[in-house]
Amino acid sequence: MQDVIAETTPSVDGASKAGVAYADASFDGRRGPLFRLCLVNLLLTLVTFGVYRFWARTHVRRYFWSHTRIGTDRFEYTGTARELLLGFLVAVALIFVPAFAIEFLSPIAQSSGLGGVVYALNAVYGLGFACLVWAAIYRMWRYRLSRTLWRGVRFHLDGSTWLFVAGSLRRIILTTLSLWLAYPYFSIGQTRDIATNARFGTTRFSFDGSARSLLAPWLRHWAIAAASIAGVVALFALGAKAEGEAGTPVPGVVGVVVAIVIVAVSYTRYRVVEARYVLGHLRFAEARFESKLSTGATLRTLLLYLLALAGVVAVGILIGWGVFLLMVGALPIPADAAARPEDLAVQFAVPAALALGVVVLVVSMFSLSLKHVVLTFGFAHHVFSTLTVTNPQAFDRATQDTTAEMPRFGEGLAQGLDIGAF
Amino acid sequence: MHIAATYYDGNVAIGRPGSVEDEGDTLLIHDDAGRELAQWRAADVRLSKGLRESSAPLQLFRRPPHLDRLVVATPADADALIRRFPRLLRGNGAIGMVRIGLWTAAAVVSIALLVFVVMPALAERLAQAMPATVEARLGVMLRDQFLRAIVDKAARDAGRPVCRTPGGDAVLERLAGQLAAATGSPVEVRVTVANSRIINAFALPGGQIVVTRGLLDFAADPDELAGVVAHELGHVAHRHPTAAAIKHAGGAFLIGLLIGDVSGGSAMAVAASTILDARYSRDAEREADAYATALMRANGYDPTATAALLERLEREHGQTFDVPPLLSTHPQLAERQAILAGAATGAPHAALTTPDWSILKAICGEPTAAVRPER
Repeated sequence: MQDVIAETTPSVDGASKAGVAYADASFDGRRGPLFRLCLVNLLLTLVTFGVYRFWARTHVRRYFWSHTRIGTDRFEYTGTARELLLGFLVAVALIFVPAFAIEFLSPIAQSSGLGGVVYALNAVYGLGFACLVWAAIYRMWRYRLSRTLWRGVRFHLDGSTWLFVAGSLRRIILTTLSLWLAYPYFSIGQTRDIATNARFGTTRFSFDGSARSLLAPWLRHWAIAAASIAGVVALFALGAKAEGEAGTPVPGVVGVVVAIVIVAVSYTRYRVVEARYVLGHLRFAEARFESKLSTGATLRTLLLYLLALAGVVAVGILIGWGVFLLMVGALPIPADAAARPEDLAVQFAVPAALALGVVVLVVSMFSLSLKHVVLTFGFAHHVFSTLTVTNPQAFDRATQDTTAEMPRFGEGLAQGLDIGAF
Repeated sequence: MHIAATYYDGNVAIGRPGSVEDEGDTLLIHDDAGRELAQWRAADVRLSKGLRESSAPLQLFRRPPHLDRLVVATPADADALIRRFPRLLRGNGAIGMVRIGLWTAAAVVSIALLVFVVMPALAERLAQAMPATVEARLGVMLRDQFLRAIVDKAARDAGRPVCRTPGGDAVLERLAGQLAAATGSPVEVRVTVANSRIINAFALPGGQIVVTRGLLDFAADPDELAGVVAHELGHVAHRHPTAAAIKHAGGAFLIGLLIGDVSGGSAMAVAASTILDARYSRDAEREADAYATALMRANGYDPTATAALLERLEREHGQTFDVPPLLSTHPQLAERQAILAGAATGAPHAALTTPDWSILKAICGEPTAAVRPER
């Protein structure tokens, strides 16, 4: 047998694990090398007018996949940049060019007195867009699983994208009608659709979780969120009353910030509970998963990310300001400029637009690196270092599916819609 | 050479502990019992690129469609294997960079072709094919956006972005009507006076022409104004504004595509496409100048009036002209003056009567009519 599987007597947490084989998952990436990889990616993406982004994505995925392991066996990402490029081009041709045409023509239709038609079309368009997002999510999973190799065997995702979209639509409508009280019904339904269609080799995963078990933690979060919103509303109502008696707006602002923090923490706690639950009810033959993911670690990662992001925004604004000053310096400004501020405003419009573009570009590019190095890294580390697989010998029996149809290119929709962490 | 390694055959998800030996250009893989598991041609073998740390285990694979894998766990064994087959480390990056370079060149060339060749040609065709009613709506929409951008802040705050008086409107309508009548064009021309101190005139899709208060003040006689309006009519007749609007939107979209971040780069892309637009517009300006000269002559107005106006404009306002130099899409002044002045004919008569001219000059409600000396 393999050294992967430790026949344990006293198990790690001392629970009733005696005699059960298990393998710990882990993520052994390091922030330094990943950060260097991201910087090189950023540089090459700039130099190649963005074409390199397909390679950049591929390299980052290879890094994450191959530093993740169950026992001693590492995952391998076998996708290529060319497949992502092709997927992007196909999505552009089929979806985004028509969408752009609609965008361009709809104001004209609107001013032609077809306002009602336009509103109806926009509603359909919005719903279609949501459907597209779900289709993109499903196809993204299909592509990624088909490009994921473990112990030399591929993963797959069967099932129909459009059935998933139909299911998502049904669930979101019911969830919305329940005032989001039944949200676990939506989220567990989504997970089940994907998990039960996933395979490792020829063997299918199964999922035995139910939305009902998550109802209590969700309702707790729902109540906290509702109370926070009510609190803010009450605060503003009081503030409006106090305004006449020379009250300050400060309590209102502080109240909003406190409410946002409370809701964010409560939501994170729920998502962690949900993640543990979902992993705990995922099955592969007799193999099971157990997660000890903690809310504290997740919150720390989120906080670190927010701080880093604030830093990048500050740097972006500094660079944009520099660009603005340089361009304004190059402009010939007439001697009587001060007397004609409006002409100056026109002269400054182009440098200001360019500077704004630079700020947006810098922030959006650097924030992607940050996302990888801080957020994705942190989550990968927390999720996999707290994950244990019991009865991993179930995976030994999996065999390669050599007949499965594989997507030939991938993630065009997801790339265009900016879905997926990396 | 004998190196401990785990072999995954790409068929069953079980690793087999064993060893690798090299025999010439071949890697021989055996299990611990000495049975041969596989023979790999060294030329086909690649190093898994995801693992970047030096202490990480080596993961070897063969080109697709092979899915069998070999993992060398201990650093000492990995070093020994690399020493024996140094080319495993080479070639991982170099070939990739060439390919990336080629893709980049291909993408830049094709986007450039689209922006500079396909889009202008397509935009011209689309502009010709666009139904008049759609073009008219587009014109109204763009005019309102445009006015928002150029009208003086004081005028906007006063709720008077457009200069209108019943008399002035009638004079403008008559002037545009007379000029347009000579062309036989079915397009309905509508001249709007923007309450802006900028000195300029613009043609927009669907026969929308905008002249600024600054231009009205600056024009010394009716023919100068008529020349400018005729020039804008030339743009309208050639459907330049419609083609430009299509080209702008398409260009911004294409450049956004190349950058990849359609939302983030769009601000830059729009500015960039405006700059790209300049060359195309110079040809259009020449066409419009030629058209305006013919039109002025047909009406018996002074075709050299515009040249005089441009000359004065350069003398009094220098190169800062009327819009930021970066945005200026007008051809070189000297060149235009040459075209316009070369068209002089005898016996011109004024485009508007003196009373009409005074009414028009007062359309923005400011006492500017009598300030300019008679020419």
